[in-house]
Amino acid sequence: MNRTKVFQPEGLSELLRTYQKYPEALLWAGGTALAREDRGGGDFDLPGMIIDIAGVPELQRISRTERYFEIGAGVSISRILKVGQHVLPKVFTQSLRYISHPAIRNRGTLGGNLCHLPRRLNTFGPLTILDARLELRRLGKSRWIQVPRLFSKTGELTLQEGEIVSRVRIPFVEWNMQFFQKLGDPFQRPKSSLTFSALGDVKKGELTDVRVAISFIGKSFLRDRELETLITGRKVPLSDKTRGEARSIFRASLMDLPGEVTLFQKERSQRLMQWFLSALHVPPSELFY
Amino acid sequence: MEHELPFIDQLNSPEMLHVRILRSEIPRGRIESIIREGVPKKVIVAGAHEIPGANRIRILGDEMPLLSNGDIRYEGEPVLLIAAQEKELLDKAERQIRISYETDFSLLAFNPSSPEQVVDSQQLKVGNPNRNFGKESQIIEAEYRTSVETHISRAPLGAYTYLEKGRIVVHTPTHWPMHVRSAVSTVTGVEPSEVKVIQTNPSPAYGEKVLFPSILASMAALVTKLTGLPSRLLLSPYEVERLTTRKPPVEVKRTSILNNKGDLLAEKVHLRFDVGAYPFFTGELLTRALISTGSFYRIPHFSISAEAIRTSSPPMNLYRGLGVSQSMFSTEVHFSRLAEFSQLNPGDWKKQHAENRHIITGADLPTMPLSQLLDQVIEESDFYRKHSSYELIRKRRNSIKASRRSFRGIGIASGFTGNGFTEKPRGKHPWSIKAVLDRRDKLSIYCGTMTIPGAIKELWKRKAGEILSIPVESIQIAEGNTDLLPDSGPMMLAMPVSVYTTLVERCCNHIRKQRFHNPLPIEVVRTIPAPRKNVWDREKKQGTPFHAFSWGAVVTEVELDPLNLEPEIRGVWASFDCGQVYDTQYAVSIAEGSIYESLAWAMGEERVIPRYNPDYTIEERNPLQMRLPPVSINFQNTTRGIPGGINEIAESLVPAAFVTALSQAAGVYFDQIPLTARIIQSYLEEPA
Amino acid sequence: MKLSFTLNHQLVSVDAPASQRLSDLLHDTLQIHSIHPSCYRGECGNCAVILNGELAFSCILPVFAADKGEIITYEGLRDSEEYEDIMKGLREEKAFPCSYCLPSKVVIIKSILENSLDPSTQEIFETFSGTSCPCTNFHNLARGVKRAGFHRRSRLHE
Repeated sequence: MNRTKVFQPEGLSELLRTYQKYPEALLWAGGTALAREDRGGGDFDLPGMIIDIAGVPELQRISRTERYFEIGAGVSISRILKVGQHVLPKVFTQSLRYISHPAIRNRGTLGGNLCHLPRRLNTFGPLTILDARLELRRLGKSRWIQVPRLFSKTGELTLQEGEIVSRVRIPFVEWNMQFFQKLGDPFQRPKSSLTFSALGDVKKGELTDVRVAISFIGKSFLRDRELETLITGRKVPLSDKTRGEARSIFRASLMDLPGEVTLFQKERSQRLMQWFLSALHVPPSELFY
Repeated sequence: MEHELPFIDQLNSPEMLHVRILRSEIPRGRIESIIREGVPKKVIVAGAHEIPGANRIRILGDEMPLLSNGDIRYEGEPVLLIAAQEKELLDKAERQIRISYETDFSLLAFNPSSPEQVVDSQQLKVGNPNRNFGKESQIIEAEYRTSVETHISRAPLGAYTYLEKGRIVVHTPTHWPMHVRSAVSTVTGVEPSEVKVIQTNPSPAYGEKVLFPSILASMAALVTKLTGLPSRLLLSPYEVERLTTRKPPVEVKRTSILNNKGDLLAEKVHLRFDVGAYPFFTGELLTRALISTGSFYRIPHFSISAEAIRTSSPPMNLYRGLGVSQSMFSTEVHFSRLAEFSQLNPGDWKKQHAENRHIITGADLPTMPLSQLLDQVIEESDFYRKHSSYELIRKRRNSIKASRRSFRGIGIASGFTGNGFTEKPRGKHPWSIKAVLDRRDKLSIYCGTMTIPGAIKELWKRKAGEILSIPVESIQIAEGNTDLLPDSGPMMLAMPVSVYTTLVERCCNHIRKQRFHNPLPIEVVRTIPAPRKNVWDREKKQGTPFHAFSWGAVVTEVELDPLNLEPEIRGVWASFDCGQVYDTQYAVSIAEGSIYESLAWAMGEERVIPRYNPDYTIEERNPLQMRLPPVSINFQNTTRGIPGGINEIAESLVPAAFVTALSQAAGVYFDQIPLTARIIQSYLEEPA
Repeated sequence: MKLSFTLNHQLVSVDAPASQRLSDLLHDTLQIHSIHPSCYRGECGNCAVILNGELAFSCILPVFAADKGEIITYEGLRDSEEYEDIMKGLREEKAFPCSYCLPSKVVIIKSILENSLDPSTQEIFETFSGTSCPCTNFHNLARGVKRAGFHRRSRLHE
């Protein structure tokens, strides 16, 4: 019989103390992604120790200032949508809407979605390009990092021993173009699936800022700075020449991706990028500027 | 809502043994040795040698061993049974038992296969398709493939057995209780009268409830016989999905000979079915394949041959419909393509080539409603206009890659399915229905299964009430077990709605004639008849093969997103003639469920559910919209004829209509199912 | 581990391995037979329960997720007025869930109506979007849910 021991701390201090003592324990938030990786019936295949964070109130908080929105890592996806649907950036809320269905969203958490080890799930891309930051806490210490630094180049979590993600801070910045698209189901079709997240800001007919990120539902993630640099500052709609150059740069970046990214995923991301470059235009809100 | 019967996983008792199957880990070979040392004493282990009766499961002339007798023919083949009161002991026993194999690496593949793998073949020929049609003729060759389909039903499958006054009592979700009784009797070596089978709730089912309950019941009953204790065997979700019935893969090769005007002169078709390691029902499967492939088309020279190929895959082919949807897929897709050669749209081509009174076997049918059904869906879907518009766009555009707009296509398919078996079942006890009118003028109808859908029960009561002029409240569909109920055969191929309904009518008509001449109670049994040779000659494939027909025409409109290559269904229009329909809304509900299921099969999805459509806007917030393919269904001629099945006709036509629609949208000829985005990509010629 | 929670308004205490799925605990140990764990992926919905007031698919939850919580299953709804409203709505719109999936559909519909007694088709589609059973088409089901909401509203205003 499996003898997994489950700790159920009732506060953040208790959680951090426990985790420091047992850094090998698995942190369990909603567990939805973990459970979906564990296919087949029977009991879960769990490690020797689990820390269930569901009862930690500090991780359940949502707060807002003039400059940013802060969401506790333990807040459920459903609750984020309920509270922040109309104030949070569309690229982020779309990524949340695309997560499965309400029964999963009721249990799944933002922290769980971000920190899922086997694959980069929906929120990683949007939070990266939104310049969101993560508060990392361990006993007696805390620090803030940018979202991409959560994982190493080989896809491992860069958290130190006993460290957890406690909050996600999303800055309020106006972007008049936001786009998120998810293709495929990451658990059923990992070799076909990807997410495409993009932000653009057009002022006086000029693309003043643009960010694009693609997550390939494994550990591979692409944000092409060279492409972003190329098209930033250009007039929209982009010229054929600019788009052609951008496509070439992007194609080269795709070729550098590791082998786990399939040709089909690359093909799909190229199509989406092609569309995105063509779709950049002066938004209606700018037409009368 | 129907079936208050319990589910098999609800039945248990304190002293019950949990039974588990230990399965082969190799796909082909022999068992070298089985070492049982170290197995906890409280665990019972049973292999082929412990079977007191015969180690076999037989169904309509085909058989397989219950437990491997040494030969292994597929990965997952049952080798041993282990049983214990605690599941932890089973885990321990499983770790202790060591089975070693001598692997035979020469697997029996489907493609390519050797002639020795052909277990059955049949042919149907009209005219002489091999003759010389002259230099002006054109030859069109094509190949079609459908892959295996697993059923999404995950209802619990298993059996619970115990001894009661010396008899073996079996609870299992079967669609053929008498077969369970016979199988358990064979394996345990007891007389059939010493076995009582009680049905549990079989919903939902895809054909797996015809054979597999007999296998599982025999296993559980074997343990009960050996130990004297109640036993329960439940398959895991993996076992249900991978190791019970599935729709078999099929490959079809077609050669069409046209004249220079595009008229079809001759057609040659060869079908190959992968029937797995232990073939069942292959005769019926192949006969139905020939009939569905030939369908209702008027082609002067037509040759169809079909083969069942044994492979190293787990047994399959007892899937709902028995191969009809795969056969019809190739016919309907292929003929839609041939329409291009005649400069006709597929709808007109099908109407022009449709026989008015005969199907391929020469059956002379007084009504063949296909033209009416085709006209209905063509009109409702605006097929002509859409087809020509999409065709124009297809011919003018450069490539999908270069375009940013979605592409649309529309496809049409039509045909029929048959209700009831084409062959009278072998065996000494014919399948039958019984009716008894008692002294209080109350009628009881006895059918071999209690799990008849409620709408069909209501249909029987209404018909019986009309014939005997008694209120429906005084009619009951008897409940019971194999002690009480007759053997009515397996509940498949629309038997309940079609064949059994006719038998109920016959019983009641006979009672009506006897009623005022003979004393009550009057008991009547009517058996499923074997058609006379002048009605249906099974050897020559001539005549009327089915008890009743279900006809249909379907149009599907598809949009292909060039960015993600995911097809979206813009609409499905269906028109069916399934004879008498008692409850139209219920029938529509059944048809719609089948349509969604077949779309899921065609798109390689597990199911068709509401999903978000792609949202290609990068400005203001647009709420994501969930959409479900809109489906429009109507039934024709619902007040006459013998009632027919709905599931199979719906699911047989939709995939072909979908694939032809997608072919028009994409500008390539798709010739297989399923079609996922990835597979679509591989068909498109231009790389990015 | 020792757990206690409220199940259909009754306090329950059990000792179960932490790795056991909540669906299996409910079905096998606590004899909640309306739960039909089958996909074990949190998709088909046949193990639906209301956990702490929210819809959850119990096959992907470990038992400790229920500790100190409140679970409502089909059995806890069967004698309620809400159940009658739901069944009436489904019947009127000719939605015929089979005996296998009816319990889970009732639980899911209850969760929808908890959020809104006048749900939109979108909300209904979203909540049912993971589920599948060949017996029921979604259009009739959506209409049935709205109808159930209507009956519920009527009852509350009486």
